[in-house]
Amino acid sequence: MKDRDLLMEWLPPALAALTIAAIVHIIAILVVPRLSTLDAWDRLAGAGPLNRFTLIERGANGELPLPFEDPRTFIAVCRYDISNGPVRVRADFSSDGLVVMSFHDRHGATFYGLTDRGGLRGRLDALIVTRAQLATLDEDTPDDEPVQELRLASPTTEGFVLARSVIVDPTDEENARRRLAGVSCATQPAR
Amino acid sequence: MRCVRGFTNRGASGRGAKHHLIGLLKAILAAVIGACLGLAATWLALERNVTFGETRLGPWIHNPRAAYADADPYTRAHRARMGDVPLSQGEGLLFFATASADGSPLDPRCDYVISGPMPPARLWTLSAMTPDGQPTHATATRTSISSAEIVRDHAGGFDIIASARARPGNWLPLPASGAFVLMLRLYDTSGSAAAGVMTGDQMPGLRRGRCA
Repeated sequence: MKDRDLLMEWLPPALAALTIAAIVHIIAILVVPRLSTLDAWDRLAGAGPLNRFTLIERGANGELPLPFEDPRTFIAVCRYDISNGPVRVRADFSSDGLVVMSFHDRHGATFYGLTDRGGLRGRLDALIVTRAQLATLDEDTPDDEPVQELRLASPTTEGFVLARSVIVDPTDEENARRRLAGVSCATQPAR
Repeated sequence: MRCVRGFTNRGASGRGAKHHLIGLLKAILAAVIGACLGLAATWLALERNVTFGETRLGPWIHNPRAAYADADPYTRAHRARMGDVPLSQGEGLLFFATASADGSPLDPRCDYVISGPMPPARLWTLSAMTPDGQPTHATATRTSISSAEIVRDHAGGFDIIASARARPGNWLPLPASGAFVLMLRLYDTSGSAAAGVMTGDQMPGLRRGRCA
C-alpha cells in the first residue's frame, strides 16, 4: 500500500519529466543546424575570398578543414554571395581524369551535383541565382533564344561550390591539382 | 461547534498550501530533470552519430539523403556540427564501414580483406580515416587505394588487404594504432547502381583476417 502511494505520488512528475525531455530533445536537434558555428560554411570561411575559387590546402598530416573528404582529392571551394547579383561558375572538363562538382546552400545542403561528364561539350557554364533573379532572367530572355547556361536557383543567398579532383593513381597527383585550374567563379557584371 | 469547524478549515487550508508547494517543487524538478535529459540525449545522439536515414548493405552503411536539405533531422544536426559535405547522387555514392562483416568493430591490430563484387562506377576509392574524418597518413596515396591502381586476377576480381603492416599485392595501409573507419566512394556511378535498389551481395565483402 505504501509503495503504491509512493508510485502514485511520483508517477505524474516522472511522466512529465520524460515528456519534457522528449520535447527538449526534438527542439534541440532541430535548432542545432541554426546555432552551429562549425558547419561547412564556417569551416571554409578562412579558405579564401568570396566569389573566387581557392584550392584548400591540406595540413601537415593531410588534414582538411572539412572532415570525411576523400584523401585522394584536391578540393577547390568558391564561397558565393548572390545578394548583389548572380555568380557565374565555369569549368573546363576537357582533360582526362575525374572532377566532380557540387553546389551547396548556406547550410551545406546540396542543390546540384555533377561529374565532368555532366557538362555540355566538356564545359560547364552555370549561373547561380536567387529565385527573384531567375524570374527576371527568364523574363529578359527571348523565348526563341536558346539558353546557353545552366541556371541554378540557390535556396539561400550565401553558399558554396566545391570542385573535387580525384588523384586517379600515384602518377596523377600533379595533373589532379592542375585540373582544378579549369574551374572559375566570378560575379556576373550587371547587364 | 463553529470554533471546531473553523479550526478544521484552517488546518485544511494549511495542508493545502503545503500540498501546493510540494506540487510546485515536483513540477520544477520534473522540468529541470526533463530539460537535462533532453539535452543529454541530444548530445549523445550527435556524439554517437545516431541517424535514421541509413541503409545497410552488408558491412557498408549508406545514407542516400545525407547530402540534401531533406536529410533526417539527426543527419542535418550532425552535418551542421561536423561540417562534412557528403557526395551527392550526381557525383557518386559514399559508403562507410565501422565493423567487419561478422560485426566486430574495426581494429588496427587486425588484417582485413576487401574482395568480391563492386557496383559499376567510373572510378572507386577506398580509404581509411580516423573516426573524426581525417586522413590516417600524410600521403594521400598511402591512406587510400583506387580502382585504377589495384592488381586484378585473370577473372577481373581483386583482394585488397587492409593492414597496419606492409602486405604484398593490393595493400591499404592502416594506422598503427587508434580507431579508424573505412570509406568507399564510387564516383560517377551508372543508373543501375542507384543505392535504393542495391543489395548487400552487390557490395564487396569486408572479412576480418589475422589479428596481431
